[in-house]
Amino acid sequence: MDDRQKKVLLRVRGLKKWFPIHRGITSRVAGYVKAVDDVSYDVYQGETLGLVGESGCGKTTLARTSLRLLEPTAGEIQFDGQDFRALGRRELRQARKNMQIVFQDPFGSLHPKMKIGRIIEEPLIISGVKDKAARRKRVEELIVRAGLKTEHLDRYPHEFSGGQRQRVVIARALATNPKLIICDEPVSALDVSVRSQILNLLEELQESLGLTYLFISHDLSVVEHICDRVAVMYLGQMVELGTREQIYGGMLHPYTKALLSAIPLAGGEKRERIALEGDIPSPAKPPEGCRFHTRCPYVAEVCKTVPPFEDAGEGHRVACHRWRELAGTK
Amino acid sequence: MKEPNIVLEARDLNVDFHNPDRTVKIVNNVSFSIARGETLGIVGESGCGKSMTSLAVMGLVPKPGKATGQVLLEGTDLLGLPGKELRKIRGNRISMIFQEPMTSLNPVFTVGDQLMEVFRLHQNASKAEAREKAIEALRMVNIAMPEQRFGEYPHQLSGGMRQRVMIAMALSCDPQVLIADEPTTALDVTIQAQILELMKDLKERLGTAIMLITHDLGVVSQVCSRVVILYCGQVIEEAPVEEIFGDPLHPYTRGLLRSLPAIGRREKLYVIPGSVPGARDFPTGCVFHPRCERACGRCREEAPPFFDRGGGHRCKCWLYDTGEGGLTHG
Repeated sequence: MDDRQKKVLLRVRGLKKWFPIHRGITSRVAGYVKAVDDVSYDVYQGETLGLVGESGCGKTTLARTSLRLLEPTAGEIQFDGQDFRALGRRELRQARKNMQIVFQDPFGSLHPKMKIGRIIEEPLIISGVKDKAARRKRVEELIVRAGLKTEHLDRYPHEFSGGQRQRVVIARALATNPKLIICDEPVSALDVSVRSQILNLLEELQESLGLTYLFISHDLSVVEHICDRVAVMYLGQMVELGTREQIYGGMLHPYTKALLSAIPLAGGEKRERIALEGDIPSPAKPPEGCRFHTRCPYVAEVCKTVPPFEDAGEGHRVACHRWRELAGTK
Repeated sequence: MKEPNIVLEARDLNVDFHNPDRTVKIVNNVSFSIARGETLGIVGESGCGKSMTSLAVMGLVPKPGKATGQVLLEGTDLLGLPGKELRKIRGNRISMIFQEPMTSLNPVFTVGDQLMEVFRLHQNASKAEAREKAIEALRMVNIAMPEQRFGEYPHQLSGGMRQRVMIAMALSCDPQVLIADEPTTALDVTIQAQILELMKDLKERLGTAIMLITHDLGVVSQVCSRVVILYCGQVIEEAPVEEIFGDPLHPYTRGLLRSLPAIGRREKLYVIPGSVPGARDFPTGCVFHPRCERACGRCREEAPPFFDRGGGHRCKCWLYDTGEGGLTHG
């Protein structure tokens, strides 16, 4: 990915998604769960952007809101130069051809009563390919691309293993020739030996088709393997964003450091862990100021105010008041 | 290999499921032992029989399954005991924690009630005594404000906190053996790190032997002293943890380790061809031969015995046949 032209495919500015909390018999709005709160980022053409964070930090909501699968509360979205929030329903459906999702659970995301061929064909029908023979030809091409055989097309999902099903989901996602694919924890439900097959497939497809991935995962070693850039989320906000080398080689945010030190390494030396105290606070009542200050080992007085998401050089961005002082500490 | 302080030993453990048409063998001649204060990791992919092995040790194999062989807890064979005797041992001298901290606590009783039950049942404690001990148990697993948590219901606790309660419950009678079945799989990495740290700490303080069942080689590398690798219901390799990662012998173990994405190494991932067979069609000969790169004629026909490589490292693979004949059993 060295010769990547820095063309922005998806530009998101100040994106918010607040879910109202209803209380009482009149369903009055008692507050909001700020699942995504003021997030800005770009996804470049042909890259893989990793989105990492613990459960409930808003990774999936951010990805879905960015594609208007959930209607944003506020913010701007540009997809391929087009103002994405201005589109009407019909235009949106057309634009969606360019974006697809691969879900975590290959058991729940395939209709059990549909044959594999029909499952892969469906996006083509929806996007208006009328010619039946052309659809069939495309479906056959896709299934081979995903590493299965054409005779599998007349089988049902239950006849396949988890890894094979994930291949079907990937074939379906490729059907409309999308530019951007959201991979929402695509390998989390798979066993180690099958996981590497799917990761390799995703990489091959990216190379041959020039795909762009938004790769959501809680597994930091998988993200390091497949992503060009990584965004770390905590409680609905991005706390750090940088290239793979910047994040894994010189992370700045204390949360990123804690997250990385918590991964148990196979065969590695037993590391000194930065143990975080307590649990993630509820996104309905996020802490004032820096949202991480309640669990941060380096908390100071200044952390009671909101830190800016500032540039630390070469596009490496971090939301921490003290990153300069802490840069030397491990 | 007889060590004086072995607390739990499984000898030729088998679990068969008898169906009207045929019998399916889920666990096949599994033998292992755990010494006091030791953590033994039982590793394998889904469907390899690791959970069934742990259920067999607890005498909890669901019908129509049947466990045969021997499970010796300090010399007493648990498999031969009548239900009444077994109930006195389970939860008292040997206890278990499960993967899902959400579903293994009863939602309609408070945490305190559920903890007190253990003391009332196994130690004939009075209500007041039980209450005191329950609060003490909560304190032992580092739960803040144990008096207040005592009266709360499971839904009021976070995932990590619930797993702490499960551990408190499991360790409350000071068992000799704790079986932990994927105890951190449902948790986030930072919480996982907390729980693993807690288990390690308690093991050192109480001298409990831990049997840790997991698919995560990273976790194994951090907390276990010895590892048993299961594949298709059989132990295919057993070794001290340093040797499993430093000098793995079985082609399956090697493949597993090579297919892990590791931080700082970004080459194409190794792929073990094929997928794990289902319990109904375990291969004949060596169970791994259809997926093994180094399989020869002998592997297809004859199941390999254990070959001892010294230092407690043994492996079921014909590659290590020295001509002297293998160990007939472990």
